[in-house]
Amino acid sequence: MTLLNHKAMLKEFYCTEEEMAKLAQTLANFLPKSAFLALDGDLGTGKTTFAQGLIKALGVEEPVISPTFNLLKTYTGLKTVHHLDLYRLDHEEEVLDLGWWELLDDPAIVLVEWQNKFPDLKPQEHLQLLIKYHEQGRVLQFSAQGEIYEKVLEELIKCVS
Amino acid sequence: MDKEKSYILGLETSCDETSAAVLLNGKEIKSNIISSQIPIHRLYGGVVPEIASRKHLEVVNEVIDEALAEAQITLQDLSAIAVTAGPGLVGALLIGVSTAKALAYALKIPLIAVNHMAGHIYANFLETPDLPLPSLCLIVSGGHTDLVAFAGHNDLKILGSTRDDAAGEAFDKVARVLGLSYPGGPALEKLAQNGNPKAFPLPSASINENTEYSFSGLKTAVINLHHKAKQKGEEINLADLAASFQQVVVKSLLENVRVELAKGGYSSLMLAGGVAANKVLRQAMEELAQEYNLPFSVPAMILCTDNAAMIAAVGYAKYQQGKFAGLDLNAYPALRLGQDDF
Repeated sequence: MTLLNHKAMLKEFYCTEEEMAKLAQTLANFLPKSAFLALDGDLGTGKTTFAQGLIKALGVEEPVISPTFNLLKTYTGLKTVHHLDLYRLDHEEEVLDLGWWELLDDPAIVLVEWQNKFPDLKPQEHLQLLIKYHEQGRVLQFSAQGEIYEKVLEELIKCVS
Repeated sequence: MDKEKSYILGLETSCDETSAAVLLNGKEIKSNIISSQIPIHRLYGGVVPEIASRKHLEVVNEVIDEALAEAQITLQDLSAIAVTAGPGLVGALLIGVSTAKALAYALKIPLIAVNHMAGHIYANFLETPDLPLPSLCLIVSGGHTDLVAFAGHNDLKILGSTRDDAAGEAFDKVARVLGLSYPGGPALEKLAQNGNPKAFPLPSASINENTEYSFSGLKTAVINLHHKAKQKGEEINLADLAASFQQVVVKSLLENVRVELAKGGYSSLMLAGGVAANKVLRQAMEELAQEYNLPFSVPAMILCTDNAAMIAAVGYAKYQQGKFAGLDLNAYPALRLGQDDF
């Protein structure tokens, strides 16, 4: 097992639903073409809305719909995106059967809703977004692990502030 | 074997279900085996199955054998093999496609590629073979919400779809928030029977001047209502909330159908997909058809869920037209209705 030599970099954004979509668009520009983004949060917090904003920003014109029932959908725009949703899955085997490791090896942005159901399957280096309800809208908690993702988060912070 | 008879073997492995069916002369379902409905021990020897592609690989041969046995025919009696080529999970689709290719090659019979969504529509022709065309079809399931104009074989067009969640998904997720057990749709429908559908004002899911759907906002509105009441310690009548939600879903679904029917030119109305099990929706669609004096069709429940008989039904139409696929057929996970040219 590899020891983590430093803690994850954390950042919180408070935003309305419209601002959330903009933040997703901004993030799309900074993510490298191979990247892993975990999207977590309760039902209705806006995981799919965030994914839609991000995928649309990459020039994808077809509708981006919730992958809850269909489990996986791949989009090709300026970058390739694998959009997954683990909501319906209960066993690690089911996730692996989707071709999990192959998807992670692809030169693509892997967006995974409900990743926190399977924390052990998350790659060591990743960006995680936890969306929570807030009186005025949503709180977006980003956690970056690994140099690449820390840089992405730094860029995002610079751009928003 | 009578040469006039055509036996089409249908194969469906696009998502959760592994299914094989035998269809005689395009209308008589001789068998329609669906893996989730077979006792587990018979298929897996006691091991609990899991969703996704490997499950299909483990059971596909068994399911085909059962379908042939129930139809009382052998592989040699088959006229053609029809298989779902998309949309769906690539790994799952490939198992059906590869199996169908191997069988077609070994038996020297035609291979037919089928769009899964066309299958949902054609389930209606198994139920009502003489349904007049053109027809307007609403397909509602866990993964899809599409309003389709069906003018004839190979002539269909999507008029509107969901922009985010499918109607069935909204049912399941709202059911979970209300604390109901899986599958959420039927449980929510049952709870709603004793509720007041006008108790809570909720936003419509019909958007964009009634051409598209969006169920995400409606889902979030119900969750917010439930959440706020809980925070304030208020009692919320769950039956009322379920009834109000169901009412808005049905009303929204019908709004777009109504707008399309008003344009004229349709000779019948169809409902398809797993959510067609909802009685309130079935009844509302039937009433709407009566209002416009159109025949209405909805498949038997077993034909509304993902199944291979509906795939064989499309297969038969293509068999008659001689529209066969090559043995280089691939799986198409993002296949859209009206865009395939198999």
